[in-house]
Amino acid sequence: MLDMLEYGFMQRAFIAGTLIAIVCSVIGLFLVLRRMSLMGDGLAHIAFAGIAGGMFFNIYPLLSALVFTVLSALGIQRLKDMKVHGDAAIAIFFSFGLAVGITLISMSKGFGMDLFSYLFGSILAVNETDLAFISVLCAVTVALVWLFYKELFYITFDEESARAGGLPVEKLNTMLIVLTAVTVVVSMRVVGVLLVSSYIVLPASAALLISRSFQNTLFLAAAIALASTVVGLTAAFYFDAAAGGAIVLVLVGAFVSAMILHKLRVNAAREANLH
Amino acid sequence: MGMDKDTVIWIKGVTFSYGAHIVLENVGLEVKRGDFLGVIGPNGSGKTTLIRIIIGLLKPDSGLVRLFGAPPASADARARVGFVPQKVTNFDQNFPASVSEVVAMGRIPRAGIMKQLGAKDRELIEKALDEVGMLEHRDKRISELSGGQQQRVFMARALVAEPELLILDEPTVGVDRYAQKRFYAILKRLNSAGITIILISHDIGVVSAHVNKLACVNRSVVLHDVSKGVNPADLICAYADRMKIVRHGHAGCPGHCQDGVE
Repeated sequence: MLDMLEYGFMQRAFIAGTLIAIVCSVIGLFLVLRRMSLMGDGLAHIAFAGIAGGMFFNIYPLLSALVFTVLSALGIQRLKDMKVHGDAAIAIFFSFGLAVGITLISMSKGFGMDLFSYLFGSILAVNETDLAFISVLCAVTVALVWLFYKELFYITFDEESARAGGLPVEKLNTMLIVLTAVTVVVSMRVVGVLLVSSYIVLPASAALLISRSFQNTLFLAAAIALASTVVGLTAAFYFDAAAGGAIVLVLVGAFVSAMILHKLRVNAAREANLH
Repeated sequence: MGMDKDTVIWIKGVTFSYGAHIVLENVGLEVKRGDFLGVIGPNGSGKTTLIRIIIGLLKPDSGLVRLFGAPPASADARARVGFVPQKVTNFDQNFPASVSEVVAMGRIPRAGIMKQLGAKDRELIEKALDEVGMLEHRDKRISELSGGQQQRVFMARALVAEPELLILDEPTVGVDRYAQKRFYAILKRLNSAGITIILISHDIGVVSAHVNKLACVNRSVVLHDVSKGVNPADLICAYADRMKIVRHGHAGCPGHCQDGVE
């Protein structure tokens, strides 16, 4: 079983996968509760353009993706401030990102295949540089969420009261959206552009079905993401499957299990009330 | 009217409009320490706008607003205010938060940004929950509570900041009569303990039974001193011709009237 960890690429995949699982589930909980689930998907397509740009201009692709995605996230925020609806703002940048990506691919000379590893994710693809890049960004993200945990919780629950209490709501919103961009970029290498959004949305959605308090939900979401990542990566190794696909399938399984557990609980509570 | 150390809110010549639509025009108001002020008026009369100006969420087009002698947007003034919003509009019923987590939010402005809550904060959270009679429910998910219980939790969240001024926006909408009675009893006790209270409502009868001052808002603001006796008929001022007063025959609730928007 543990023989897969003798391979350097699997060790890197597991370390990266663990970090990504934590970051995605934590940021995902805030996004899901704020009705911003599609933000992850939108930003992933924008990141795709950043990757293509990096390859085209011969820059480290994750770095160009990071810069491009963070700037676009701020752009979406700006459009929302200008009273463009949130989902429309995401759609505008989403299409823009794809257009840039597709145009660059069509003009490229042969980085098409490389680009596909970003679309679908790959455990073979995480090299030393990627791992260092991912580790630093995940550490920064977790540290910021930990520092501003109370405040993010407050604005997620009740923005109006948070503002009345004097919290810097706009700055916190901007921080959350920038951290979402970072989360998307670090996750792409393993799970792929097309599947990032499920990695962000599923653990939180599953945890929300069975938790009691906010803190409880946060830890539960992280636990679900971690377990699914370990199972998914292992399956991907032994069945020679795409890592992103395998992990997301396990996550969907976890979500369905949470739904069944939730249903059973509701029924049990109803029974108890009847007697 | 004069601003002194007992003046909690001082408003003079305030005008506010959304685009071309004037919501408040040349409004003046003074609230003193220990007052229990009811703010009444029909929907769309500017009640909530007035409150949002007082706590610095909106900036008036013109006029002067002072909260504890300072501009209302200042952190110092805001930290002395507890705000209980309209729960129905601000609260996702499926939000995964325990009762004590919700109350803890109220400590954040006092504890300071990026600071973890300490033993003293936790003590105050328990005290506030006890004050509103919700201590035994502290580990429950907020969505499991009834409307009246949820409202008391939001009250505890405002109280945990140890406010000198408590502002409540339509706190008893969707809450049954018994729970309302209990809620007003808590408000009365807090007011006796020296907390200044502002209560927005469109239920004139219930409000006028508890407050010592009434502000009728309808683009303008007219202040009535209830403790000196006020003729309910005068209060129709706030409603102009948009409403009629419906009398109910509730024993022990003389002059109880409820708005019926026609």
